[in-house]
Amino acid sequence: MIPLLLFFFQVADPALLSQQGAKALRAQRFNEAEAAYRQLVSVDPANPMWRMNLGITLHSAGRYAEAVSEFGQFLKTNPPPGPTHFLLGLSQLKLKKPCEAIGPLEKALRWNRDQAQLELADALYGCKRYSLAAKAYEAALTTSKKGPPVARQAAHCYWNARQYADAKRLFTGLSLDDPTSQYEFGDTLVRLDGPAAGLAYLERAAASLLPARAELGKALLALDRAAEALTHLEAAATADPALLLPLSKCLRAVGRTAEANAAQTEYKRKFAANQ
Amino acid sequence: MRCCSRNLYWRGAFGLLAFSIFAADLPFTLFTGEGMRHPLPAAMPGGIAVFDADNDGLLDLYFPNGAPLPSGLKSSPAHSNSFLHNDGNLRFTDRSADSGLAGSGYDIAATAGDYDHDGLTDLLVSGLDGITLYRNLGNGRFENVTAKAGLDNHGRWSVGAVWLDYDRDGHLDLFVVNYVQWNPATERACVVDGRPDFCHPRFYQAQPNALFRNNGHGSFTDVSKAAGIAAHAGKGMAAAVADFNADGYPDIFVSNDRVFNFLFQNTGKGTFEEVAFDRGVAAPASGDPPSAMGVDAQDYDNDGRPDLIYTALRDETFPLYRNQGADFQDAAVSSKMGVLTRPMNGWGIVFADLDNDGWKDLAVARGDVLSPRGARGDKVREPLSWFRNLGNRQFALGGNFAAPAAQYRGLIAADFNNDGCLDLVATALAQPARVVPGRCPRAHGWLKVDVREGGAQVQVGQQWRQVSATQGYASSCQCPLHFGLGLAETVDVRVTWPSGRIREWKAVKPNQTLVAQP
Repeated sequence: MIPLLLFFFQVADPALLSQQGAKALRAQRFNEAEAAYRQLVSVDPANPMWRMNLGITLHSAGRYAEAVSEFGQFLKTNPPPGPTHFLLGLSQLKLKKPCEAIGPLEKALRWNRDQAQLELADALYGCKRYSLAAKAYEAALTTSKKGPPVARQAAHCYWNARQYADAKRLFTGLSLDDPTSQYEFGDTLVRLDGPAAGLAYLERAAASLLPARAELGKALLALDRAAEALTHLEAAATADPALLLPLSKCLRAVGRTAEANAAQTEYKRKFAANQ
Repeated sequence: MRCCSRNLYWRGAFGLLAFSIFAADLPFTLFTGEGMRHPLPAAMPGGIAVFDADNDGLLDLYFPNGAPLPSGLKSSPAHSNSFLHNDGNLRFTDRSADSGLAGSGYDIAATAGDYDHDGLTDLLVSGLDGITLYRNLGNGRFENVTAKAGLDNHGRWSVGAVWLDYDRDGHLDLFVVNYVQWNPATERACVVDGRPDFCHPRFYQAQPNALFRNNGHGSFTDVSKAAGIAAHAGKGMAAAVADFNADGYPDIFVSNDRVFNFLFQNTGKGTFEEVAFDRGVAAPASGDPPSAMGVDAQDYDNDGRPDLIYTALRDETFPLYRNQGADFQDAAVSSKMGVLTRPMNGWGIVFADLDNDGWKDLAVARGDVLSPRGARGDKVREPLSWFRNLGNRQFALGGNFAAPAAQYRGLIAADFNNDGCLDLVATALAQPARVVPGRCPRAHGWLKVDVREGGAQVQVGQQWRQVSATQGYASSCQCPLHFGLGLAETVDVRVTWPSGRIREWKAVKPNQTLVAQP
């Protein structure tokens, strides 16, 4: 009973409550900090800073949805770009709402470019705005210590955005030891420089990635190497019916006409809905 | 109003062959009717017809025009189709007012041909609500004879047509390319990259094309069903006619938007068989039917067989098919066109020997299908480009013409000033049409062969062309066939008509026009 009385005695002093809240937040005693800031919001609602601090507390406690609500209340007061925009964007990212994170993070960029650039790139990527994401990752390269991973991510975004010249520029010079990067770089080279240029990378990626086998098969077929293309296209066609057409060409080229006709018929049947 | 008095676009770079010193605006601006919404037809207009309307030896121009949407009805002079008379020296006078060609609906394509054998070239105009046949009366005036001729496309949205004599009876028949079913009442609101934009063609139902047989006395009969055309629904964007299998009968290739292309092979018995898969042109080797747009069919490797190319959108490449006789080879890789066209959005495309070296080059009208007000609006405008035929079944990027970037659509290559160099005329959405004067090397000779009968084959030296007015996207050119001769001092010429009649000229000197009549 005595501690409770003491607590209610203390609510009358916003300055003290603020100190307690800040101290508890620094010590990661989030429940205590939350209580302090909620008290402050109720006794001093005209001061938007209490909502901002409450939001920071909730964000730090991993209660992102509640943090978003408090940040939203605070931002209704139209504060200049600042940490709240950044944290709101981060909360939205944590809540898997990358498209909602973009706006706050763009504002946060004006407050602190170094801190917000990478998160903005992540938000744009999550929202599938690949071209902008690629540019944001490239911008983050100047501020982030994660150089090669960020460059790889930028290249990946350019590839997704079908901006192959930019993808090639970034992939070139990176150590491409993962199959996804090998596949994307190989595909990029095929598109920019022709099928022969990308074969080596596609062959490396084909061991573990079915899409790489598909592109490898198509590249080999384009180079009139149907016999080599065949196994790759047979494997990849199980997942992508569009590949039944190049597969049928492959089969025809190696003299398996009946199977070629069957593949072509199956291709037409599967695309019938599209017609 | 005359052209060439404003907006000259000077070539900014020297180095690659300087075909064009400048492009000039023509007195016609293409109205799209896009408005604040994005109705699909607004992305589609821009055809051109080139023909000598008054037989004065100079090629005139006709531009079908759009209209406000969704009504699709013209309500102002700005929506009028335009007929520009060629006054010589690349000057054109707008003679639309009294021509009878202004139109009333949303028009897209125009196809020139003398369907009634009176020596005057007539016009078939295709549009959102069907087709209109204009008979050339010979005094700069045309008469709408659609109903009299019995032509009825049943209100289907047509984006092109081809005159051809499919039954070899000496009369030009009509093949109409129909796109999709479009209903403004059910038009959806589509979003691309978070902004409103035009919808993907998958949201619209396919339509069959149509074939009208010329009865020989000014009327036509719809033979679409009997000829085997109506059984195939597609999303037709353009058609090219040529005798692909060398059996003496014209065949029809139709480029379809994101669905399989058609190759209607003429059986010679009044019917067609659809053989696109059997001949290898239904879809590119990748298996993904692209956004096939404009098409042209001519012999680019001088082996006597008509080949095929059609445009598509960015990252789809422009498929090029080399005719091997029994089937077509996908030559996108071996010709380098795949790599060269990967970043391009294409519409009109024509095989044309721009440098008169004896090898047909390629000119392309480029521009995205998306809206300039959409999320990718800053990237929808592209240049007019050309590819040089290297003479070894490969192409190299020739460069861009000295015209502003735009959403180009229709494109025709023709010699408008009779100087022996092919000029270009192109339309662009919401912009003036433009003429790009040709500047071919003076040392190279040329020869024009004026054959009006569709389906005739012309051999000049080792080069071949088949007579077909339709070119590229929504456009046609009833023009003398143009051959570059390089440094040759003489060439032999042979014209073979569909009837089998042949006429030959030996040791013809360059830089002249031969008129060939059966």
